[in-house]
Amino acid sequence: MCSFIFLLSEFSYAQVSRIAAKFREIDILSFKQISWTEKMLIQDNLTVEEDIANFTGQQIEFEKSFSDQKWGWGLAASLGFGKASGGGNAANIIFQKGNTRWSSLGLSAQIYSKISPRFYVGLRMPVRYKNIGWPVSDSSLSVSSGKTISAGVLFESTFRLNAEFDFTQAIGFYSASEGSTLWQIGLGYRL
Amino acid sequence: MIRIIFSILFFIAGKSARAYPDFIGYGYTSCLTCHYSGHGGGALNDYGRALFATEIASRSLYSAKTDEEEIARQSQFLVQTELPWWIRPGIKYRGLWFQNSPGSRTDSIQKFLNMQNDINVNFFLDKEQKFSFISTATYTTYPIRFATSTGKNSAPFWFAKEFYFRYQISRNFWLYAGQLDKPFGIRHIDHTLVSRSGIGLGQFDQSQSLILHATYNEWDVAFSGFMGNSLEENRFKQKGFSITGEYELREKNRIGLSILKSKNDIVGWTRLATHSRVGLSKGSAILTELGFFENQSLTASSKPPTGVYAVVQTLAHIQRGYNLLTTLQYSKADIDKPVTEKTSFTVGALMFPMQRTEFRLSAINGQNYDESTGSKDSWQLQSQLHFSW
Repeated sequence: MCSFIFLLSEFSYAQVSRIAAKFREIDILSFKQISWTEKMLIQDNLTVEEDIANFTGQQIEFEKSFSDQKWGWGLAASLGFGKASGGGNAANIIFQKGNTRWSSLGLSAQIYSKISPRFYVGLRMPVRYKNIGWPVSDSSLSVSSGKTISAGVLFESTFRLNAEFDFTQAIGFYSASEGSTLWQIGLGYRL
Repeated sequence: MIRIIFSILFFIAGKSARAYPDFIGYGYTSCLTCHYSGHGGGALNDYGRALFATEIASRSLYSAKTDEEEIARQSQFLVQTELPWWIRPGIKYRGLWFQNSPGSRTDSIQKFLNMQNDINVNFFLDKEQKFSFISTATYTTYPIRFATSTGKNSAPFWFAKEFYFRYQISRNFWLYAGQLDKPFGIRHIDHTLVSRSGIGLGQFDQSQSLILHATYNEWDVAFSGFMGNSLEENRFKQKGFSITGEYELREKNRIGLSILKSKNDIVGWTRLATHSRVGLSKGSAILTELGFFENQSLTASSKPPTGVYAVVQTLAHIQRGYNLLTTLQYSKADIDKPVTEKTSFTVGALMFPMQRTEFRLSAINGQNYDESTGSKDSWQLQSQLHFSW
């Protein structure tokens, strides 16, 4: 059994080495604008109402990307921060807050196809931990939006502006937003 | 924040433009290559027709034996028959179908519009087309543009959309006199963008103008003095000037600056914009425009708010005749106050399945950010069919 595992790991290492040799590795540092909407839950004692929260902010992302002539994939870590505004629509509970700060930590995997030397399209699958505390003035009130940990799928396109800079845009869905759409646009710098 | 990204993109990409200004991706930097107007839009010239047929549109309907010259010959108004040199007619039709809130049982509406119904007739006094008269008659079924300024809001009607003399003074200088579009910023084909109708440069916002246009390989600049649309009552006519110019930083890579100032009896307009057009690999391009606007009420003494807008459009060439088109828009009516920030993202296909024909499919997602309330996303599906005969 141990021998089999050893052989398997040796085989895997060889495979990975061959693949790594075939694919070119690039580090990309990106700065992105991000925007999405979440369902908000407002609870006042036994009354619960739904509302809407809009999020906007920035995301700094570091990605290790591997690609050959036609395909590529990447793994990225990101740090996000920004502002959110929510409430104001519920029928019975009065709650509305703007300019509430949020922050996030995320990991994502991407696979893409090189349509041309300067245009790539692909899918990015992010997982994100989000932190936001909606301020309430009344202790009987509790407010939450979306999910703390969420995953999603984004359709992403990348234009190579020149040798150093990429322009990326992505649109897709996050489980935190429960049906609404998330966008990202930004610039990537090839380190 | 989004303004900063646009600004950075603008300057990095930098290391007036027009109907399909995205075609800088093919290396066509000037509108005059394909249009009679130096600032784009309107009728195609002979070269523009041939180029549409042989470079932009798919050739899948032709056999492999048919050469490009034959396809170009068929792009004429009477197909194989050449008209006399002194006349060039044209017909343009664009139909739009859209559905708001698709999938919703309560809010979903759909509509079809005959959006563009143009007949172009263009006359030339000489074979070199130094002296030209360009005209477009149009039929509109939704005369919202003129509802207040002409009273013609009750019925569809025909009118002269553009009519102007074009005189080529020299190899590099052109003079336009008559009613045509005001030169300003990137003249996107989508007249509903925040950078077009959002600042008073929409589908029917042509103005009686005198325009001097200087064009060189590396730069061009246009000076326009205008005095309003001929259909409008005098008190509604915006009178003023616009200046727009572009400079080529390197091949297929241009930056531009535009200014417009005008007023009528009710409101004064000030608009300022920078733009860039960057051609990437063949047929692909990124266009950006960042602008500021003020509408000064002439009955109020207070300073008007300064609004901001930004547009980023990308065209990705997939194969001949088939492209992926995205457009991102941002606008805020007052940069100093926490008013609603409106954004929309359009993603779709721009297809030219055969010559003279364009077909679009797109989805538009709108998201607003307002400090005083949360708001739902909006969705719209669009389909457009365009014939340019």
